Amino acid sequence: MIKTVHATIVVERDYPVPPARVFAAFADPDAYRQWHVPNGEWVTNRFAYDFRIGGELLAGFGKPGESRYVNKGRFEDIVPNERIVSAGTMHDGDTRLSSTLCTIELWAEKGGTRLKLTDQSVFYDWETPEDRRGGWTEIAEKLAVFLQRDAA
Amino acid sequence: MPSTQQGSFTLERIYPATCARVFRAFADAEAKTKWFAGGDRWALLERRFDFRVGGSERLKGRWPDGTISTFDATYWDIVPETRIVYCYAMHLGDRKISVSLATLEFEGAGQGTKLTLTEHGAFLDGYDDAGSRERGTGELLDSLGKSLAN
Repeated sequence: MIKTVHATIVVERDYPVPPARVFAAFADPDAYRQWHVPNGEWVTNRFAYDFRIGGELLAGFGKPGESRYVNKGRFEDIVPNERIVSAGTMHDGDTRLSSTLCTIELWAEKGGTRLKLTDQSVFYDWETPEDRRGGWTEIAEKLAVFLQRDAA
Repeated sequence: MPSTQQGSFTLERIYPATCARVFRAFADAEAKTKWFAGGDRWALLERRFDFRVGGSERLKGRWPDGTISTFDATYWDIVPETRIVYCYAMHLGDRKISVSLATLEFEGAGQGTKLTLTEHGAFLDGYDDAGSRERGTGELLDSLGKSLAN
């Protein structure tokens, strides 16, 4: 049996738009769906996203037509334009890979927005903290591209 | 500026009981009631317990100074006699003070059981911190030990 691994991963990024714009990219299900998966070749095939405290989220993604990876979660705290706390479990098929407490914080800085993401996780199976950090870094970049396109 | 302080801690206890018995102290409603509470001067207001993946738990009570605390948990992973993972939010009155991810791991240690609790917390708006949570959680694990002795 694989021993569990506990990790805290912090990713920070600046966006050249106000906090309300970055927050909207998380709060609007249609917006969020466009940028929330890491790999450029993956698509979201199953999606449910009830953005309110106590609301549930479900995203199944992978190659086109597949939902190999399923993230199930729940919104634990939301402060508009400032903070989103969620918790949930990542699955590979029926296998639970990891459970995560994820805190997104936003604040105005240098005319734009500083986003600080803190991922506090327990890993059960093959997924590693390094995989997760790489995933979040790609997602932060996809959000930057989304915000740029959204502004155009 | 950030409005949240993250913190983590790990606690270990060795109990002179089997893994099955220590696991049951978390999995069985009646066994958990014996130790998961606020103490003699704390008054129970609400207790709900649905121990399964996706199930939820609530413990709400009033402290001697009138403060009402609410523990609201969701279970994310359960492997019998091996592991339990849950996320919980703590409220004091209407104020949410923290959201935490807790992992309990059970393993045999001689004739007894070693319990390792790892907690990751997001402490909101400066109302609590990992140090005071670690002390409170340690006291609960000691109460659990006493409940096993009975």
